Amino acid sequence: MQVLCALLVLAILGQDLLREAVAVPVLQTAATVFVAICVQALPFLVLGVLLSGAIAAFVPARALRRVLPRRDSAAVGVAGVSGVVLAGCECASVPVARRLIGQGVAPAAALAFLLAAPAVNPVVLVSTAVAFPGEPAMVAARFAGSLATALIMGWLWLRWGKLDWIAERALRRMPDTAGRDRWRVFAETARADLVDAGGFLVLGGLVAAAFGVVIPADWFSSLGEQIVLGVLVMAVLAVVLSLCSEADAFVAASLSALPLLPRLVFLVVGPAIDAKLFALQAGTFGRAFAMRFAPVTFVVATACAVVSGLVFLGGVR
Amino acid sequence: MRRETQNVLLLLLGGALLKIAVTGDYLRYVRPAHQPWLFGAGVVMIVLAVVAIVRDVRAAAGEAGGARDGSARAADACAGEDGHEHTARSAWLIVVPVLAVLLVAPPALGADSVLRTRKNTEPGNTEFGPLPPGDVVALPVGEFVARAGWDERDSLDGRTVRLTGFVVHTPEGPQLARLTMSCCAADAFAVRTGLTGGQADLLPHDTWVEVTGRLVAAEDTRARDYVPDLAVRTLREIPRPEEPYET
Repeated sequence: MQVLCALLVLAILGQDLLREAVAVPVLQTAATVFVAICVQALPFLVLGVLLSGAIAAFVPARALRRVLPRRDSAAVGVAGVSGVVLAGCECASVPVARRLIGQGVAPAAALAFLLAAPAVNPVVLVSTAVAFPGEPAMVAARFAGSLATALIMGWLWLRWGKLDWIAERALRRMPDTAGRDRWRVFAETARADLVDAGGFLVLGGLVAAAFGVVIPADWFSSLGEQIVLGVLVMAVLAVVLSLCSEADAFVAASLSALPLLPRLVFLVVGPAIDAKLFALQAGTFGRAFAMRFAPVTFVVATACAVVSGLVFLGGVR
Repeated sequence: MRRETQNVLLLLLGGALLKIAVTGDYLRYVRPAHQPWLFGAGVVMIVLAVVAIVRDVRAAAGEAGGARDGSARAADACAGEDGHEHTARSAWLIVVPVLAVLLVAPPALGADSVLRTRKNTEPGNTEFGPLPPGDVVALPVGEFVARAGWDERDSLDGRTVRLTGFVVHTPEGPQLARLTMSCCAADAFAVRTGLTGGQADLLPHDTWVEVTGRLVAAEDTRARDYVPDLAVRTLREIPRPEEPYET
Protein backbone atom coordinates (compact mmCIF):
# COMPACT_ATOMS: atom_id res chain seq x y z
CA MET A 1 0.00 0.00 0.00
CA GLN A 2 2.77 2.42 0.93
CA VAL A 3 4.52 1.49 -2.28
CA LEU A 4 1.42 2.36 -4.28
CA CYS A 5 1.04 5.71 -2.55
CA ALA A 6 4.69 6.58 -3.11
CA LEU A 7 4.37 5.56 -6.76
CA LEU A 8 1.30 7.73 -7.26
CA VAL A 9 2.81 10.77 -5.57
CA LEU A 10 5.98 10.39 -7.61
CA ALA A 11 3.98 10.06 -10.82
CA ILE A 12 1.90 13.13 -10.07
CA LEU A 13 4.98 15.20 -9.18
CA GLY A 14 6.76 13.97 -12.28
CA GLN A 15 3.70 14.41 -14.47
CA ASP A 16 5.31 16.98 -16.75
CA LEU A 17 8.47 14.93 -17.10
CA LEU A 18 6.33 11.90 -17.90
CA ARG A 19 4.44 13.82 -20.57
CA GLU A 20 7.63 15.15 -22.10
CA ALA A 21 9.08 11.67 -22.20
CA VAL A 22 6.09 10.48 -24.21
CA ALA A 23 6.11 13.51 -26.49
CA VAL A 24 8.26 11.72 -29.08
CA PRO A 25 5.84 10.84 -31.92
CA VAL A 26 6.67 7.12 -31.93
CA LEU A 27 6.13 6.78 -28.19
CA GLN A 28 2.96 8.80 -28.40
CA THR A 29 1.57 6.48 -31.06
CA ALA A 30 2.56 3.47 -28.98
CA ALA A 31 0.99 4.99 -25.85
CA THR A 32 -2.26 5.66 -27.68
CA VAL A 33 -2.36 2.12 -29.06
CA PHE A 34 -1.60 0.71 -25.62
CA VAL A 35 -4.37 2.69 -23.91
CA ALA A 36 -6.72 1.79 -26.77
CA ILE A 37 -6.08 -1.93 -26.31
CA CYS A 38 -6.66 -1.68 -22.55
CA VAL A 39 -9.77 0.47 -22.87
CA GLN A 40 -11.15 -1.83 -25.54
CA ALA A 41 -10.44 -5.08 -23.72
CA LEU A 42 -11.14 -4.23 -20.07
CA PRO A 43 -14.95 -4.22 -20.39
CA PHE A 44 -14.78 -7.69 -21.94
CA LEU A 45 -12.49 -8.87 -19.18
CA VAL A 46 -15.00 -7.51 -16.65
CA LEU A 47 -17.76 -9.43 -18.44
CA GLY A 48 -15.59 -12.54 -18.25
CA VAL A 49 -14.86 -12.25 -14.53
CA LEU A 50 -18.55 -11.61 -13.76
CA LEU A 51 -19.43 -14.82 -15.63
CA SER A 52 -16.61 -16.59 -13.84
CA GLY A 53 -17.91 -15.36 -10.49
CA ALA A 54 -21.44 -16.40 -11.40
CA ILE A 55 -20.30 -19.89 -12.34
CA ALA A 56 -18.37 -20.23 -9.09
CA ALA A 57 -21.26 -19.03 -6.97
CA PHE A 58 -24.43 -20.16 -8.66
CA VAL A 59 -23.60 -23.16 -10.85
CA PRO A 60 -22.83 -26.15 -8.66
CA ALA A 61 -20.22 -28.51 -10.05
CA ARG A 62 -22.72 -31.36 -10.36
CA ALA A 63 -24.98 -29.27 -12.60
CA LEU A 64 -22.11 -28.73 -15.04
CA ARG A 65 -21.33 -32.43 -14.96
CA ARG A 66 -24.95 -33.23 -15.78
CA VAL A 67 -25.00 -30.86 -18.78
CA LEU A 68 -21.81 -32.13 -20.36
CA PRO A 69 -21.59 -35.64 -21.82
CA ARG A 70 -19.78 -38.08 -19.58
CA ARG A 71 -17.26 -39.09 -22.23
CA ASP A 72 -14.58 -36.42 -22.33
CA SER A 73 -14.13 -36.56 -26.09
CA ALA A 74 -17.83 -35.80 -26.55
CA ALA A 75 -17.64 -33.08 -23.89
CA VAL A 76 -14.94 -31.37 -25.95
CA GLY A 77 -17.34 -31.21 -28.88
CA VAL A 78 -20.20 -29.81 -26.81
CA ALA A 79 -17.92 -27.23 -25.15
CA GLY A 80 -16.51 -26.13 -28.49
CA VAL A 81 -19.90 -25.62 -30.06
CA SER A 82 -21.25 -23.85 -26.96
CA GLY A 83 -18.55 -21.23 -27.49
CA VAL A 84 -21.11 -19.75 -29.90
CA VAL A 85 -23.08 -18.26 -27.01
CA LEU A 86 -20.36 -16.17 -25.34
CA ALA A 87 -20.41 -13.10 -27.54
CA GLY A 88 -17.25 -11.42 -26.38
CA CYS A 89 -13.62 -10.89 -27.19
CA GLU A 90 -10.99 -13.40 -26.24
CA CYS A 91 -10.24 -11.69 -22.94
CA ALA A 92 -13.65 -12.73 -21.58
CA SER A 93 -13.14 -16.42 -22.20
CA VAL A 94 -9.94 -16.96 -20.21
CA PRO A 95 -11.41 -16.41 -16.72
CA VAL A 96 -14.52 -18.36 -17.70
CA ALA A 97 -12.48 -21.35 -18.89
CA ARG A 98 -10.42 -21.28 -15.71
CA ARG A 99 -13.56 -21.32 -13.60
CA LEU A 100 -15.02 -24.19 -15.60
CA ILE A 101 -11.90 -26.23 -14.81
CA GLY A 102 -12.19 -25.19 -11.18
CA GLN A 103 -15.77 -26.48 -11.13
CA GLY A 104 -14.74 -29.90 -12.32
CA VAL A 105 -15.24 -29.66 -16.07
CA ALA A 106 -12.66 -31.74 -17.94
CA PRO A 107 -9.75 -29.41 -18.81
CA ALA A 108 -9.89 -30.55 -22.43
CA ALA A 109 -13.51 -29.36 -22.72
CA ALA A 110 -12.80 -26.07 -20.97
CA LEU A 111 -9.85 -25.42 -23.26
CA ALA A 112 -11.96 -26.15 -26.34
CA PHE A 113 -14.42 -23.56 -25.03
CA LEU A 114 -11.56 -21.13 -24.41
CA LEU A 115 -10.46 -21.34 -28.05
CA ALA A 116 -13.91 -21.49 -29.63
CA ALA A 117 -15.75 -18.73 -27.74
CA PRO A 118 -13.93 -15.68 -29.11
CA ALA A 119 -13.84 -16.97 -32.69
CA VAL A 120 -17.19 -18.49 -33.53
CA ASN A 121 -19.67 -16.24 -31.74
CA PRO A 122 -22.33 -14.42 -33.78
CA VAL A 123 -20.83 -10.94 -33.31
CA VAL A 124 -17.51 -12.03 -34.79
CA LEU A 125 -19.15 -13.89 -37.67
CA VAL A 126 -21.39 -10.94 -38.53
CA SER A 127 -18.47 -8.50 -38.48
CA THR A 128 -16.57 -10.88 -40.76
CA ALA A 129 -19.51 -10.92 -43.17
CA VAL A 130 -19.66 -7.12 -43.11
CA ALA A 131 -15.92 -6.79 -43.69
CA PHE A 132 -15.95 -9.18 -46.66
CA PRO A 133 -19.22 -8.31 -48.40
CA GLY A 134 -18.39 -10.11 -51.62
CA GLU A 135 -17.03 -13.24 -49.97
CA PRO A 136 -19.59 -15.12 -47.88
CA ALA A 137 -17.25 -18.12 -48.02
CA MET A 138 -14.87 -16.26 -45.68
CA VAL A 139 -17.45 -16.52 -42.89
CA ALA A 140 -17.88 -20.25 -43.37
CA ALA A 141 -14.13 -20.77 -43.66
CA ARG A 142 -13.45 -18.79 -40.51
CA PHE A 143 -16.14 -20.63 -38.55
CA ALA A 144 -14.90 -24.04 -39.68
CA GLY A 145 -11.22 -23.23 -39.19
CA SER A 146 -11.70 -21.82 -35.69
CA LEU A 147 -14.04 -24.56 -34.49
CA ALA A 148 -11.67 -27.21 -35.85
CA THR A 149 -8.78 -25.55 -34.00
CA ALA A 150 -10.73 -25.63 -30.74
CA LEU A 151 -11.83 -29.26 -31.10
CA ILE A 152 -8.44 -30.55 -32.21
CA MET A 153 -6.71 -28.75 -29.33
CA GLY A 154 -9.25 -30.28 -26.95
CA TRP A 155 -8.64 -33.78 -28.25
CA LEU A 156 -4.89 -33.27 -28.27
CA TRP A 157 -5.13 -32.31 -24.61
CA LEU A 158 -7.12 -35.47 -23.86
CA ARG A 159 -4.40 -37.57 -25.45
CA TRP A 160 -1.24 -35.83 -24.23
CA GLY A 161 -2.19 -33.08 -21.82
CA LYS A 162 -1.04 -33.30 -18.21
CA LEU A 163 -2.85 -31.75 -15.32
CA ASP A 164 0.50 -30.89 -13.67
CA TRP A 165 1.08 -28.25 -16.32
CA ILE A 166 -1.84 -26.21 -15.04
CA ALA A 167 -0.98 -24.14 -12.00
CA GLU A 168 -2.52 -25.54 -8.85
CA ARG A 169 -4.35 -22.30 -8.10
CA ALA A 170 -6.39 -22.55 -11.31
CA LEU A 171 -7.63 -25.99 -10.32
CA ARG A 172 -8.85 -25.14 -6.86
CA ARG A 173 -12.50 -25.99 -6.48
CA MET A 174 -14.87 -23.45 -4.96
CA PRO A 175 -16.93 -25.09 -2.24
CA ASP A 176 -20.63 -25.29 -3.08
CA THR A 177 -22.41 -22.53 -1.28
CA ALA A 178 -25.96 -21.45 -0.60
CA GLY A 179 -27.92 -18.37 0.38
CA ARG A 180 -26.14 -15.11 1.11
CA ASP A 181 -22.73 -16.71 1.01
CA ARG A 182 -23.24 -17.11 -2.71
CA TRP A 183 -23.09 -13.38 -3.29
CA ARG A 184 -19.97 -13.21 -1.20
CA VAL A 185 -18.32 -15.91 -3.33
CA PHE A 186 -19.53 -14.20 -6.51
CA ALA A 187 -18.03 -10.81 -5.60
CA GLU A 188 -14.81 -12.26 -4.21
CA THR A 189 -14.20 -14.55 -7.20
CA ALA A 190 -14.89 -11.79 -9.71
CA ARG A 191 -12.63 -9.36 -7.85
CA ALA A 192 -9.73 -11.77 -7.48
CA ASP A 193 -9.99 -12.87 -11.14
CA LEU A 194 -10.06 -9.27 -12.27
CA VAL A 195 -6.92 -8.32 -10.35
CA ASP A 196 -5.20 -11.52 -11.50
CA ALA A 197 -6.00 -11.17 -15.16
CA GLY A 198 -5.90 -7.37 -15.35
CA GLY A 199 -2.14 -7.20 -14.84
CA PHE A 200 -1.53 -9.74 -17.58
CA LEU A 201 -3.88 -8.00 -19.96
CA VAL A 202 -1.81 -4.85 -19.45
CA LEU A 203 1.37 -6.80 -20.16
CA GLY A 204 -0.10 -8.14 -23.40
CA GLY A 205 -1.24 -4.65 -24.35
CA LEU A 206 2.27 -3.27 -23.84
CA VAL A 207 3.81 -5.96 -26.05
CA ALA A 208 1.19 -5.52 -28.77
CA ALA A 209 1.59 -1.73 -28.78
CA ALA A 210 5.36 -2.03 -29.05
CA PHE A 211 5.10 -4.40 -32.02
CA GLY A 212 2.39 -2.26 -33.56
CA VAL A 213 4.78 0.65 -34.03
CA VAL A 214 7.91 -1.39 -34.73
CA ILE A 215 6.48 -3.39 -37.63
CA PRO A 216 6.25 -1.27 -40.77
CA ALA A 217 2.71 -1.49 -42.06
CA ASP A 218 3.82 -1.81 -45.68
CA TRP A 219 5.50 -5.06 -44.80
CA PHE A 220 2.56 -7.29 -45.53
CA SER A 221 1.26 -5.70 -48.68
CA SER A 222 4.61 -6.33 -50.38
CA LEU A 223 4.31 -10.07 -49.83
CA GLY A 224 1.91 -10.35 -52.74
CA GLU A 225 2.12 -13.68 -54.45
CA GLN A 226 4.48 -15.56 -52.14
CA ILE A 227 1.77 -17.65 -50.59
CA VAL A 228 3.72 -19.74 -48.07
CA LEU A 229 5.58 -16.73 -46.78
CA GLY A 230 2.29 -14.80 -46.76
CA VAL A 231 0.59 -17.42 -44.61
CA LEU A 232 3.47 -17.51 -42.13
CA VAL A 233 3.81 -13.76 -41.88
CA MET A 234 0.08 -13.26 -41.39
CA ALA A 235 0.02 -15.94 -38.68
CA VAL A 236 2.86 -14.21 -36.85
CA LEU A 237 1.23 -10.82 -37.31
CA ALA A 238 -2.02 -12.11 -35.83
CA VAL A 239 -0.06 -13.05 -32.72
CA VAL A 240 1.89 -9.85 -32.27
CA LEU A 241 -0.84 -7.35 -33.17
CA SER A 242 -3.34 -8.86 -30.67
CA LEU A 243 -6.38 -7.36 -32.32
CA CYS A 244 -9.82 -7.82 -30.86
CA SER A 245 -11.60 -10.69 -32.60
CA GLU A 246 -14.52 -8.42 -33.44
CA ALA A 247 -12.27 -6.02 -35.34
CA ASP A 248 -9.62 -8.17 -36.98
CA ALA A 249 -11.83 -8.93 -39.99
CA PHE A 250 -11.78 -5.26 -40.98
CA VAL A 251 -8.01 -5.15 -40.79
CA ALA A 252 -7.78 -8.34 -42.83
CA ALA A 253 -10.19 -6.90 -45.38
CA SER A 254 -8.02 -3.82 -45.77
CA LEU A 255 -4.96 -5.89 -46.70
CA SER A 256 -6.27 -6.28 -50.19
CA ALA A 257 -2.87 -6.87 -51.77
CA LEU A 258 -2.86 -10.34 -50.23
CA PRO A 259 -4.85 -13.34 -51.43
CA LEU A 260 -7.72 -14.51 -49.23
CA LEU A 261 -5.96 -17.54 -47.74
CA PRO A 262 -3.28 -15.67 -45.72
CA ARG A 263 -5.97 -13.29 -44.53
CA LEU A 264 -8.07 -16.23 -43.36
CA VAL A 265 -5.05 -17.53 -41.45
CA PHE A 266 -4.84 -14.13 -39.77
CA LEU A 267 -8.50 -14.41 -38.70
CA VAL A 268 -8.23 -17.96 -37.35
CA VAL A 269 -4.91 -17.62 -35.52
CA GLY A 270 -5.62 -14.22 -33.91
CA PRO A 271 -8.52 -15.20 -31.64
CA ALA A 272 -6.86 -18.54 -30.77
CA ILE A 273 -3.50 -17.20 -29.65
CA ASP A 274 -1.94 -13.76 -29.53
CA ALA A 275 0.41 -11.81 -27.28
CA LYS A 276 -2.41 -10.57 -25.07
CA LEU A 277 -3.93 -14.04 -24.71
CA PHE A 278 -0.56 -15.64 -24.02
CA ALA A 279 -0.01 -13.22 -21.15
CA LEU A 280 -3.51 -13.91 -19.83
CA GLN A 281 -3.05 -17.68 -20.09
CA ALA A 282 0.35 -17.57 -18.41
CA GLY A 283 -1.15 -15.55 -15.58
CA THR A 284 -4.25 -17.67 -15.20
CA PHE A 285 -3.06 -21.22 -15.82
CA GLY A 286 0.64 -20.80 -15.13
CA ARG A 287 3.70 -20.42 -17.29
CA ALA A 288 4.30 -24.15 -17.69
CA PHE A 289 0.89 -24.44 -19.30
CA ALA A 290 1.17 -21.43 -21.57
CA MET A 291 4.64 -22.35 -22.84
CA ARG A 292 3.27 -25.67 -24.10
CA PHE A 293 -0.29 -24.74 -25.05
CA ALA A 294 0.42 -21.54 -27.00
CA PRO A 295 2.93 -22.86 -29.58
CA VAL A 296 0.80 -25.94 -30.29
CA THR A 297 -2.27 -23.73 -30.67
CA PHE A 298 -0.35 -21.59 -33.12
CA VAL A 299 0.61 -24.56 -35.31
CA VAL A 300 -2.83 -26.21 -35.13
CA ALA A 301 -4.66 -22.95 -35.87
CA THR A 302 -2.46 -22.19 -38.87
CA ALA A 303 -2.95 -25.70 -40.24
CA CYS A 304 -6.72 -25.65 -39.66
CA ALA A 305 -7.00 -22.27 -41.37
CA VAL A 306 -5.09 -23.45 -44.42
CA VAL A 307 -7.16 -26.63 -44.76
CA SER A 308 -10.42 -24.78 -44.17
CA GLY A 309 -9.39 -22.14 -46.69
CA LEU A 310 -8.60 -24.74 -49.34
CA VAL A 311 -11.97 -26.39 -48.74
CA PHE A 312 -14.26 -23.36 -48.45
CA LEU A 313 -12.47 -20.81 -50.57
CA GLY A 314 -11.54 -23.42 -53.14
CA GLY A 315 -7.86 -22.53 -53.18
CA VAL A 316 -5.55 -19.67 -52.42
CA ARG A 317 -7.51 -16.94 -54.25
CA MET B 1 0.44 -7.57 -3.17
CA ARG B 2 -1.85 -6.79 -0.27
CA ARG B 3 -5.60 -6.92 -0.59
CA GLU B 4 -5.97 -3.24 0.28
CA THR B 5 -3.60 -2.28 -2.51
CA GLN B 6 -5.50 -4.42 -5.00
CA ASN B 7 -8.74 -2.73 -4.07
CA VAL B 8 -7.27 0.74 -4.41
CA LEU B 9 -5.88 -0.19 -7.82
CA LEU B 10 -9.31 -1.42 -8.91
CA LEU B 11 -10.88 1.82 -7.68
CA LEU B 12 -8.34 3.83 -9.66
CA LEU B 13 -8.76 1.75 -12.81
CA GLY B 14 -12.56 1.91 -12.63
CA GLY B 15 -12.32 5.64 -12.00
CA ALA B 16 -10.04 6.11 -14.99
CA LEU B 17 -12.49 4.28 -17.27
CA LEU B 18 -15.41 6.36 -15.96
CA LYS B 19 -13.42 9.54 -16.37
CA ILE B 20 -12.68 9.05 -20.06
CA ALA B 21 -16.24 7.83 -20.67
CA VAL B 22 -17.66 11.01 -19.12
CA THR B 23 -15.25 13.52 -20.63
CA GLY B 24 -15.44 12.02 -24.11
CA ASP B 25 -11.69 11.33 -24.16
CA TYR B 26 -12.54 7.70 -24.86
CA LEU B 27 -13.17 8.72 -28.47
CA ARG B 28 -9.40 8.99 -28.88
CA TYR B 29 -9.08 5.26 -28.30
CA VAL B 30 -12.28 3.41 -29.18
CA ARG B 31 -15.41 3.90 -31.26
CA PRO B 32 -18.42 5.82 -29.93
CA ALA B 33 -20.52 2.67 -29.40
CA HIS B 34 -18.07 1.55 -26.72
CA GLN B 35 -19.19 4.19 -24.20
CA PRO B 36 -21.84 2.15 -22.32
CA TRP B 37 -19.34 -0.70 -22.00
CA LEU B 38 -16.85 1.65 -20.37
CA PHE B 39 -19.48 2.92 -17.94
CA GLY B 40 -20.44 -0.65 -17.10
CA ALA B 41 -16.87 -1.83 -16.61
CA GLY B 42 -15.95 1.22 -14.51
CA VAL B 43 -18.97 0.83 -12.26
CA VAL B 44 -18.43 -2.92 -11.80
CA MET B 45 -14.77 -2.40 -10.86
CA ILE B 46 -15.64 0.27 -8.33
CA VAL B 47 -18.49 -1.77 -6.84
CA LEU B 48 -16.30 -4.88 -6.51
CA ALA B 49 -13.56 -2.86 -4.84
CA VAL B 50 -15.94 -1.03 -2.48
CA VAL B 51 -17.71 -4.26 -1.49
CA ALA B 52 -14.37 -5.86 -0.68
CA ILE B 53 -13.18 -2.83 1.30
CA VAL B 54 -16.40 -2.60 3.31
CA ARG B 55 -16.31 -6.31 4.07
CA ASP B 56 -12.68 -6.18 5.14
CA VAL B 57 -13.32 -3.23 7.43
CA ARG B 58 -16.37 -4.93 8.92
CA ALA B 59 -14.49 -8.19 9.34
CA ALA B 60 -11.70 -6.38 11.16
CA ALA B 61 -14.21 -4.66 13.42
CA GLY B 62 -16.07 -7.95 13.98
CA GLU B 63 -12.89 -9.78 14.90
CA ALA B 64 -12.01 -7.07 17.34
CA GLY B 65 -15.44 -7.47 18.93
CA GLY B 66 -15.10 -11.23 18.79
CA ALA B 67 -18.72 -11.64 17.68
CA ARG B 68 -18.72 -13.43 14.35
CA ASP B 69 -20.12 -16.73 13.30
CA GLY B 70 -17.52 -19.28 12.38
CA SER B 71 -18.48 -20.02 8.79
CA ALA B 72 -18.37 -16.41 7.66
CA ARG B 73 -14.99 -15.92 9.22
CA ALA B 74 -13.73 -19.08 7.57
CA ALA B 75 -14.92 -17.82 4.18
CA ASP B 76 -13.20 -14.49 4.70
CA ALA B 77 -10.00 -16.06 5.86
CA CYS B 78 -9.99 -18.25 2.78
CA ALA B 79 -10.59 -15.28 0.50
CA GLY B 80 -7.89 -13.23 2.17
CA GLU B 81 -5.43 -16.03 1.84
CA ASP B 82 -6.36 -16.35 -1.83
CA GLY B 83 -5.60 -12.71 -2.37
CA HIS B 84 -2.17 -13.21 -0.91
CA GLU B 85 -0.88 -16.21 -2.76
CA HIS B 86 -2.68 -15.76 -6.04
CA THR B 87 -1.81 -12.37 -7.25
CA ALA B 88 1.67 -12.29 -8.56
CA ARG B 89 3.57 -9.06 -8.88
CA SER B 90 1.98 -8.71 -12.31
CA ALA B 91 -1.04 -7.06 -10.71
CA TRP B 92 1.17 -4.01 -10.25
CA LEU B 93 0.98 -3.53 -13.99
CA ILE B 94 -2.59 -2.30 -13.54
CA VAL B 95 -1.01 0.94 -12.42
CA VAL B 96 0.37 1.53 -15.94
CA PRO B 97 -2.92 2.20 -17.76
CA VAL B 98 -4.15 4.16 -14.74
CA LEU B 99 -1.17 6.52 -14.98
CA ALA B 100 -1.37 6.59 -18.77
CA VAL B 101 -5.03 7.58 -18.75
CA LEU B 102 -5.08 9.95 -15.79
CA LEU B 103 -1.72 11.69 -16.18
CA VAL B 104 -0.49 11.34 -19.74
CA ALA B 105 -3.80 11.01 -21.62
CA PRO B 106 -2.18 10.18 -24.97
CA PRO B 107 -3.83 11.99 -27.90
CA ALA B 108 -5.68 10.40 -30.78
CA LEU B 109 -3.48 8.87 -33.47
CA GLY B 110 -2.21 11.41 -35.97
CA ALA B 111 0.48 12.19 -38.50
CA ASP B 112 2.97 9.71 -37.04
CA SER B 113 0.68 6.74 -37.75
CA VAL B 114 -0.16 8.07 -41.21
CA LEU B 115 3.53 8.30 -42.10
CA ARG B 116 4.01 4.62 -41.30
CA THR B 117 2.15 3.65 -44.44
CA ARG B 118 2.21 5.01 -47.97
CA LYS B 119 -0.82 3.44 -49.54
CA ASN B 120 -4.54 3.75 -49.52
CA THR B 121 -6.05 0.29 -49.25
CA GLU B 122 -8.92 -1.06 -51.27
CA PRO B 123 -12.30 -0.64 -49.59
CA GLY B 124 -14.37 -3.73 -48.87
CA ASN B 125 -17.20 -2.42 -51.01
CA THR B 126 -16.52 -0.89 -54.41
CA GLU B 127 -20.16 -0.47 -55.47
CA PHE B 128 -20.94 3.22 -55.20
CA GLY B 129 -24.29 4.97 -55.54
CA PRO B 130 -24.54 8.46 -57.03
CA LEU B 131 -23.33 11.37 -54.89
CA PRO B 132 -26.04 13.45 -53.22
CA PRO B 133 -26.96 16.65 -55.10
CA GLY B 134 -25.69 20.09 -54.06
CA ASP B 135 -22.93 22.53 -54.92
CA VAL B 136 -20.56 21.18 -52.30
CA VAL B 137 -20.83 17.60 -51.05
CA ALA B 138 -19.44 16.79 -47.63
CA LEU B 139 -17.73 13.40 -47.73
CA PRO B 140 -15.69 11.33 -45.29
CA VAL B 141 -12.06 11.20 -46.46
CA GLY B 142 -12.36 7.43 -46.65
CA GLU B 143 -15.25 7.62 -49.09
CA PHE B 144 -13.57 10.29 -51.20
CA VAL B 145 -10.46 8.15 -51.51
CA ALA B 146 -12.50 5.02 -52.26
CA ARG B 147 -14.51 6.73 -54.99
CA ALA B 148 -11.40 8.35 -56.44
CA GLY B 149 -9.55 5.08 -56.67
CA TRP B 150 -12.14 2.43 -57.38
CA ASP B 151 -15.40 3.97 -58.65
CA GLU B 152 -15.85 2.90 -62.24
CA ARG B 153 -18.60 5.47 -62.81
CA ASP B 154 -16.33 8.40 -61.88
CA SER B 155 -18.97 9.92 -59.62
CA LEU B 156 -16.50 12.56 -58.39
CA ASP B 157 -15.91 14.11 -61.82
CA GLY B 158 -16.87 17.76 -61.88
CA ARG B 159 -18.12 17.74 -58.29
CA THR B 160 -16.88 19.95 -55.48
CA VAL B 161 -16.40 18.10 -52.19
CA ARG B 162 -15.75 19.15 -48.62
CA LEU B 163 -13.36 17.03 -46.57
CA THR B 164 -12.28 17.20 -42.92
CA GLY B 165 -8.96 15.83 -41.78
CA PHE B 166 -5.50 16.76 -40.60
CA VAL B 167 -2.41 17.84 -42.52
CA VAL B 168 0.51 15.47 -43.01
CA HIS B 169 3.70 16.39 -44.85
CA THR B 170 5.07 13.52 -46.89
CA PRO B 171 7.89 13.27 -49.42
CA GLU B 172 5.13 13.44 -52.05
CA GLY B 173 3.91 16.78 -50.71
CA PRO B 174 1.24 17.88 -48.25
CA GLN B 175 -1.65 15.50 -47.72
CA LEU B 176 -4.98 15.53 -45.95
CA ALA B 177 -5.38 12.39 -43.84
CA ARG B 178 -7.83 10.74 -41.56
CA LEU B 179 -7.67 7.45 -39.63
CA THR B 180 -10.37 4.84 -40.03
CA MET B 181 -11.12 2.65 -37.06
CA SER B 182 -13.36 -0.38 -36.72
CA CYS B 183 -12.96 -1.27 -33.04
CA CYS B 184 -10.09 0.50 -31.31
CA ALA B 185 -7.08 2.62 -32.26
CA ALA B 186 -4.94 -0.52 -32.53
CA ASP B 187 -6.72 -1.45 -35.75
CA ALA B 188 -6.91 2.06 -37.22
CA PHE B 189 -5.54 2.60 -40.73
CA ALA B 190 -4.93 5.81 -42.63
CA VAL B 191 -6.72 7.21 -45.68
CA ARG B 192 -5.18 10.20 -47.40
CA THR B 193 -5.35 12.49 -50.40
CA GLY B 194 -2.76 14.89 -51.77
CA LEU B 195 -3.52 18.61 -51.51
CA THR B 196 -2.52 20.78 -54.48
CA GLY B 197 -2.61 24.55 -54.62
CA GLY B 198 -0.07 25.38 -51.92
CA GLN B 199 -2.53 26.46 -49.22
CA ALA B 200 -1.50 23.64 -46.88
CA ASP B 201 2.25 23.92 -47.45
CA LEU B 202 3.02 25.97 -44.36
CA LEU B 203 0.62 24.36 -41.91
CA PRO B 204 2.32 22.12 -39.34
CA HIS B 205 1.65 18.37 -39.00
CA ASP B 206 -1.65 17.45 -37.38
CA THR B 207 -3.37 20.77 -38.10
CA TRP B 208 -7.07 20.01 -38.50
CA VAL B 209 -8.55 21.62 -41.59
CA GLU B 210 -11.73 21.66 -43.60
CA VAL B 211 -11.03 21.86 -47.33
CA THR B 212 -13.22 22.14 -50.38
CA GLY B 213 -12.05 21.33 -53.86
CA ARG B 214 -12.22 18.94 -56.76
CA LEU B 215 -10.55 15.67 -57.54
CA VAL B 216 -7.65 16.15 -59.93
CA ALA B 217 -8.39 13.83 -62.83
CA ALA B 218 -5.68 11.18 -63.12
CA GLU B 219 -5.35 8.40 -65.64
CA ASP B 220 -4.28 5.79 -63.16
CA THR B 221 -3.84 6.31 -59.43
CA ARG B 222 -2.53 2.78 -58.97
CA ALA B 223 1.01 3.91 -59.69
CA ARG B 224 0.61 6.40 -56.86
CA ASP B 225 -0.60 3.78 -54.37
CA TYR B 226 -4.17 5.00 -54.90
CA VAL B 227 -3.48 8.37 -53.31
CA PRO B 228 -5.57 10.89 -55.29
CA ASP B 229 -5.03 14.66 -55.45
CA LEU B 230 -7.51 17.29 -54.41
CA ALA B 231 -7.29 20.69 -56.11
CA VAL B 232 -7.96 22.87 -53.08
CA ARG B 233 -10.37 25.77 -53.53
CA THR B 234 -10.81 26.83 -49.92
CA LEU B 235 -8.99 25.74 -46.78
CA ARG B 236 -9.98 26.63 -43.25
CA GLU B 237 -8.33 25.64 -39.98
CA ILE B 238 -10.73 24.05 -37.52
CA PRO B 239 -10.45 22.75 -33.95
CA ARG B 240 -9.88 19.01 -33.53
CA PRO B 241 -13.29 17.35 -33.94
CA GLU B 242 -14.77 15.41 -31.05
CA GLU B 243 -14.66 12.19 -33.04
CA PRO B 244 -11.15 12.14 -34.51
CA TYR B 245 -11.66 8.84 -36.36
CA GLU B 246 -13.88 7.83 -39.22
CA THR B 247 -15.64 4.54 -38.70
